[in-house]
Amino acid sequence: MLAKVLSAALVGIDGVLVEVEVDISNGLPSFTIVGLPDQAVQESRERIRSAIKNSEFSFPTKRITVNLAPADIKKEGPSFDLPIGIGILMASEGIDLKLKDPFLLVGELSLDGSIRPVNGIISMTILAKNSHIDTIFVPYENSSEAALIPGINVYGVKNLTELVGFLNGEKILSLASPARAIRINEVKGDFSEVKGQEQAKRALEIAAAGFHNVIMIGPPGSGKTMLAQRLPEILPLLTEEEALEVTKIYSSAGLLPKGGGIIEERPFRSPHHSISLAGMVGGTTNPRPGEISLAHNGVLFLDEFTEFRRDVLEALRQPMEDGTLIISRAHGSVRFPARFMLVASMNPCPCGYLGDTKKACTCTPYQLERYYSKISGPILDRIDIQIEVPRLETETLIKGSSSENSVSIKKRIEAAREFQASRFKDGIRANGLMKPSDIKKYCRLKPPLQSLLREIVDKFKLSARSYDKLLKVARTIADLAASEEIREEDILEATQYRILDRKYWEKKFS
Amino acid sequence: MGEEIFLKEWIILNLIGRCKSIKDLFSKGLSTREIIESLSLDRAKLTEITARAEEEYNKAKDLGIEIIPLSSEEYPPLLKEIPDPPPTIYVLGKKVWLDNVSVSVVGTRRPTRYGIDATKKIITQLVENKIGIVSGFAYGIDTVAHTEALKMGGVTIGVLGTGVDVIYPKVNKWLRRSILESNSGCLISEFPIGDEPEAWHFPRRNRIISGLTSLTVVVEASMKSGAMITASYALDQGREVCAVPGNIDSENSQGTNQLIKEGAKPVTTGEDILEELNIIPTFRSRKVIPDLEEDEMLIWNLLEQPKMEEELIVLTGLEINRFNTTVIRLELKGVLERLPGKILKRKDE
Repeated sequence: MLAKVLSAALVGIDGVLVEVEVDISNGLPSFTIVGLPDQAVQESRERIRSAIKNSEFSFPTKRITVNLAPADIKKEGPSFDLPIGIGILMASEGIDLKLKDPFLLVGELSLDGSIRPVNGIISMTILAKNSHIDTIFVPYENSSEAALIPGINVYGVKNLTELVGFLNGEKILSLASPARAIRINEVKGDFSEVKGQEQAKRALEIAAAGFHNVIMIGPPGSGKTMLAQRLPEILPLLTEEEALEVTKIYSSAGLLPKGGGIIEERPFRSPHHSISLAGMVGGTTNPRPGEISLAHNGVLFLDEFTEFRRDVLEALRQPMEDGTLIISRAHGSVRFPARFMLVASMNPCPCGYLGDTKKACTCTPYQLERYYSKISGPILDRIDIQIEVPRLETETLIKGSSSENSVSIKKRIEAAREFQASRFKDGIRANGLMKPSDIKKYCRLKPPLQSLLREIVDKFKLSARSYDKLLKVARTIADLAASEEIREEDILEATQYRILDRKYWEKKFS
Repeated sequence: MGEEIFLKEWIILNLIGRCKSIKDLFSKGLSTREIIESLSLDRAKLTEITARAEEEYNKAKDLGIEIIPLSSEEYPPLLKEIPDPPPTIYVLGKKVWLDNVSVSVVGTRRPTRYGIDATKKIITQLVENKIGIVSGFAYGIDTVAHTEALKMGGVTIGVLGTGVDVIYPKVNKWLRRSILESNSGCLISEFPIGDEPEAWHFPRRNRIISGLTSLTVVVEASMKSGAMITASYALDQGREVCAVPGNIDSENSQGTNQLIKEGAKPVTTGEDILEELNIIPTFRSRKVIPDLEEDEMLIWNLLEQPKMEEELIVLTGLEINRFNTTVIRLELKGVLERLPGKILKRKDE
């Protein structure tokens, strides 16, 4: 007899509908799975056999053929255990199905018949909902995660017996309730702990308010890392839509803690500079999200920016432009969301002492040129805010007493975000994400300010591209002051944040 | 025609290179031919050198390089006096020593901010009094010295450790061009055309730097540095040595402080040097205070000395956004300069 149940496979971070067909016919007892299963799926035969037997159902001693359709997508992992098991029971008439509506099943079976959690539940639930399937059965431990998606019945099941009982109409299961918020970032401390560096703090506030990419240049020990690590504390919470996007990525990467949960804070990722290309953008034959996707809607902090491999840095270009990354593999291409705020930090020169008041920089001009050429123009073009973070004398540190805490900085940023949101009507989420056409539309300047901007570009020999960057940053500065129009002081202050454009290192001897 | 042969003989002498003996013989009144003969080279060698001299002569003509023999009136008079002057010097650019008194300014290739600022300060005052600046065209203090002299509209001489047509260090290509295009400076060398940089060239070149002037200023130098070699040449040549004192903990001031201990005159301004040269300083009227707004004036007044932005924020007590805009305003007005390390300084005109 033939039975069909629906399940889902994970491709990248999206679910794809998979129909599990089970045919039981007379013949020599066998158990075959076809439809591009990988090793884990092949092994599921053994788990299913034991789980069914240990749940006190009978495993048919007949010829069993399982097809996972569509047959051209590679099926990975153990999440097909449950649908195949249920399929076998249905085909061997172990289940008298009372549920007439279509439903979707995912879960890994344990040998004793209990159901273990799997990755990517959110994506699969979204898929079920979009395919007009009313009910989804998921492992109990994933159920609160799945319940984050409204408009679909989510049942968390603990074991095979329970599920079969429900499908037979003998048992009642309660609907799962949505997960609570969880924290993913380690709390590193408060902004008030950073003494001095008022300009850097201000720049990070602007960056956070407008979701601008930032590069910090400063000698070792000047506090670049300390500043960056405190960024999550001042970033506004994710919007509902964003939270779901982020949680979906973490769910499919298997990074949600046991019991699941929804991520409401902006992720902060700081991969080490030895990271591989696959680790950064996502990879392997069946692509998994890389660091840039894990930083989606949050911060990607690259400490020692120039130490990263060139190809790794260059791979950031496309996602920085589009907010998504497309990885093409033999079995088709996968899209990963990757709209992150880049925060990079680097030393001013290879020896670290360029610009130091006490110690001489021992780098030759040639070394400096090579060092700065590591960050390519196209990358630099995508970084709106460039600041210097010098090493401060203890004296200055003590004198600079103003140290605002993260909470009050965050309040200003949230207000600025709301101010932006009320302006943008076409899905732009922050100033830093404006495209050139949006800049024309949203950053209009009065004629006197236009000539001021032109004067600045001439005077400081800025490139034509930095014109747009200045406008974007000026827009955010105005938003922080709740000003509808970009004012003179906004443009002037924005100029402070284009330090690299001004051929920083060439001034060594002049 | 006679002149051509005469010059070629000088080139032969330069290629032989025994500067001290050549000078001694020359001052006894011997002719070039006689000097060559009395150096008693073997025949094969002399033939080879003669052929090379011929080549040098033609190359110089093609490249527009002037070769000035020791006997010439255009030969730098002070250099003539040293015990071992090069028999010929190669010159590219304007022979500025003919109209200007110069001093030599030398220092480390890896200066600190202090060294850079001190060099600029001293050179500004020297150039204002029409003093030319001689230096070694290397990275660091040398580059600052040449650049500053040109920026102030003064004259400068770069003494190379390579052939005068060779660009070294490569990154100073722009400096080379600006010296040659300014028509107020030149590059000189004793090394044959096309000679590549060799380690032994540079200490040897230093005797010309000190030899060209009556006074050498050492700005920043560690104990073992080319600048210290230049200073000891200057003393051997009976020239004045001045040194800019520095922090006793700074590696780059060990050499200069040592020179002061040994009797070099400590100098902190250009005036100190002018005094040593018996020149009465004349000062261009100091720049009038620019037309500034209140906040701008606040920052400007604090910038007697260059300061870090971070320090200025504390000192002025301005709101951070206000501070940022004011600094940019000052920069736009062209009165402020920004240096690596977030240091602001008044822009000197």
